[in-house]
Amino acid sequence: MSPPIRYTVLALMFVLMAGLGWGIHSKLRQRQELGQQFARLPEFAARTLKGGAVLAPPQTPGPVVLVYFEPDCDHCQRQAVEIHRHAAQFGAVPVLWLSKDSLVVLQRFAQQYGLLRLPTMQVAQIRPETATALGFFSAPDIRVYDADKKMCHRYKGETSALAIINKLHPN
Amino acid sequence: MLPTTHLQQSLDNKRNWLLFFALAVVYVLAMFCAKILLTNDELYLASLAGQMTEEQARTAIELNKEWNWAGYFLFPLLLLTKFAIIAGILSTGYYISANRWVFAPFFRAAIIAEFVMILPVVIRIFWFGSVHPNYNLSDLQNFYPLSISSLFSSSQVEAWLRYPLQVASLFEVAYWLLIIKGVHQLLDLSWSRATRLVGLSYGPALLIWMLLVMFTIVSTS
Repeated sequence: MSPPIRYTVLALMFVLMAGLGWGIHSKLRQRQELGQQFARLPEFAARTLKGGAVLAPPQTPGPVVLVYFEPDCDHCQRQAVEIHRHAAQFGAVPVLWLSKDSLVVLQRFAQQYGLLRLPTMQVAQIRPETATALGFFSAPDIRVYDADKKMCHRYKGETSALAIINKLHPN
Repeated sequence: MLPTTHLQQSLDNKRNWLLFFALAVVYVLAMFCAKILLTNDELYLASLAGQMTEEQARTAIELNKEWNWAGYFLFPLLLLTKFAIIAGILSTGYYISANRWVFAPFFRAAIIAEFVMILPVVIRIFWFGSVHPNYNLSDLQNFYPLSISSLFSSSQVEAWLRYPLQVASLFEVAYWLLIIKGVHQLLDLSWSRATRLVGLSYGPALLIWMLLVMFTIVSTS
């Protein structure tokens, strides 16, 4: 085989390896940056079902759970049932349900899944740009923050309430 | 001369298919035994409990049971694809170096070498069946005997790094040696030429494959 073809094959292999290597490196860097960005519970603005501003979560003492949801999503609805069923095991840990939907829709969701009857559950509306800034791109997105407001786990998608509780109370 | 060569080729092809069939049967049997002897619903439930609701876990287990048989049918096809790709890569390497295209001997070498990869499955059955009977699904999934991965616990290694550490095993070394031996014998090449051919064709291809797997894991996890 002529040398130019050999060199072309070699060059193609090199380009492929270098491309994949660079891809892995940039994805890892991106993940690290995202990890740092959401490592701590940020301050953000949200509106409660009554229309008032929600307390900035970092001022709440103890661990916090954020659940980003969409009222129409089946997984979010099942997640609400799952968390409601194990609500007692969450103890005094506040669970903040956040969504971009209208307050009317959120009110209906909260009522339907019994979230209003639980004092530790709070449903609030966030602006689309806040959801983007917080990195909420799919629902449900569940984040567990410890007492120092450091994120100890993130669940993308429907998950077991017991798994969340285990992260809150490891022992 | 020509009819003899043709007959020889036809016999070689027949032997290759018989060998492939034997390998696929042994492989599928080993996998079936591992599945029957080492896994059950409780094991899956315990493992999935931390990730999904019980209802979801049960649905996933039922779905897995329903489609389990498909895996056994698809596996030989995957093996066939793997051998065709490996033989294609070695053939291309040989074509580049010798300006001659041959495929069947490389295909045969790839099938023979694959037999060594059944050993980890057998060791897994023996290890969890008698030596370490208290295991969970994660132990089972991350068990790669005689590999660099076995020197670390799964929690110590990032998900994207697990695959290359699993590949880096004594079985992979044996696999390489068998491929080189196959190329040496079947193509009547010297040991050094066979080693160079495998190293310069299969080596980069394996590296590209590992990088592709790592990239996919990093992108999706």
